[in-house]
Amino acid sequence: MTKKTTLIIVACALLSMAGLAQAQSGTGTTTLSVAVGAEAALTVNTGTTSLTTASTTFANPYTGTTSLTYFMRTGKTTGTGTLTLKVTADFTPAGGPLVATPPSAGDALTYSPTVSSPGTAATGPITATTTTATAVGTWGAAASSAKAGNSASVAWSLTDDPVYAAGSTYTATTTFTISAT
Amino acid sequence: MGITPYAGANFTLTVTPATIAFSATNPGTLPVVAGSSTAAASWSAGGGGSTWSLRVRAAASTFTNCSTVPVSAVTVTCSAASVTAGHGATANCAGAFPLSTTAQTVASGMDSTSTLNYSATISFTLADNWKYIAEMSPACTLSLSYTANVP
Repeated sequence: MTKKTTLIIVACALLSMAGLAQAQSGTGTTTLSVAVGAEAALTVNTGTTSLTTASTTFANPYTGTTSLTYFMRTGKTTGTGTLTLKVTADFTPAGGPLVATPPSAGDALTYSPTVSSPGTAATGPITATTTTATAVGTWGAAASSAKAGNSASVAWSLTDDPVYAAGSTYTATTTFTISAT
Repeated sequence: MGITPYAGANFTLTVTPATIAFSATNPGTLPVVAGSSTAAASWSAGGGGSTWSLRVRAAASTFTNCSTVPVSAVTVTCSAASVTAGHGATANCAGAFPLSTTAQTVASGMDSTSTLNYSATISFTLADNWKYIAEMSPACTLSLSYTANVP
């Protein structure tokens, strides 16, 4: 009877040792840190925007739309984003419209922007200039676009003035600037 | 007589450096950002002639202070794994995987009944995205937990 009890105790001890051999482990840690910078980028989808008019009576302006895709991420608490445009090269050749010195009073190149959320479009129509960058849209803090970007556009309007010499295609260059903080 | 599960013998798992940093500056020009360094994990343990493993998991589903940055944006890649030679033990890197809050195997192999030295080198990359809200300070952090098991 005594011998049988001893065997049971030995068996339990072996089970315990088996458990000891099967459960060694160690743990460690690493901290990953990321600094996400404010950034903005812009794709002008319509590299050349043709302004046209169906009118032959000077009653309607030349119009056209420039399509944009913006990429934006602003700071979480105090970040902002801005998109502006400026006419960096006035219309050429001579004899046509001019942004800096319109041939007739009231002539103007104006635009009305649209900016999809989370951006906010500036209220148009806005007169484009060769001297000052004018607003297209703004973003507040903690704004971010989709990975593929978000849409925006600028609808142009140019006065149809009979003093423009016919027979030429007049070309101007507008530069868009986007930034984020 | 009941059997109480044994909690296990522990060994020291050393992981260096303590912090690995990413600088996500522009997802347009740099969509994948490498960590500032690789992580080196090492430990010594006596095995039982079975399969050992090193696993890692994230403590949360997003970075602290950067809730728009998911842990799945981090890819974990084991670039090297080794174990003391000459004892019939083996060490193999697992394939790269996106980080998650579930423990995933970084490296594994066969151990032996001898006390062996194990090590693994791990690299991390971050997929930057315009969807992330910018945050430079306070830092966005994420704690990773490693567990090495040697049966």
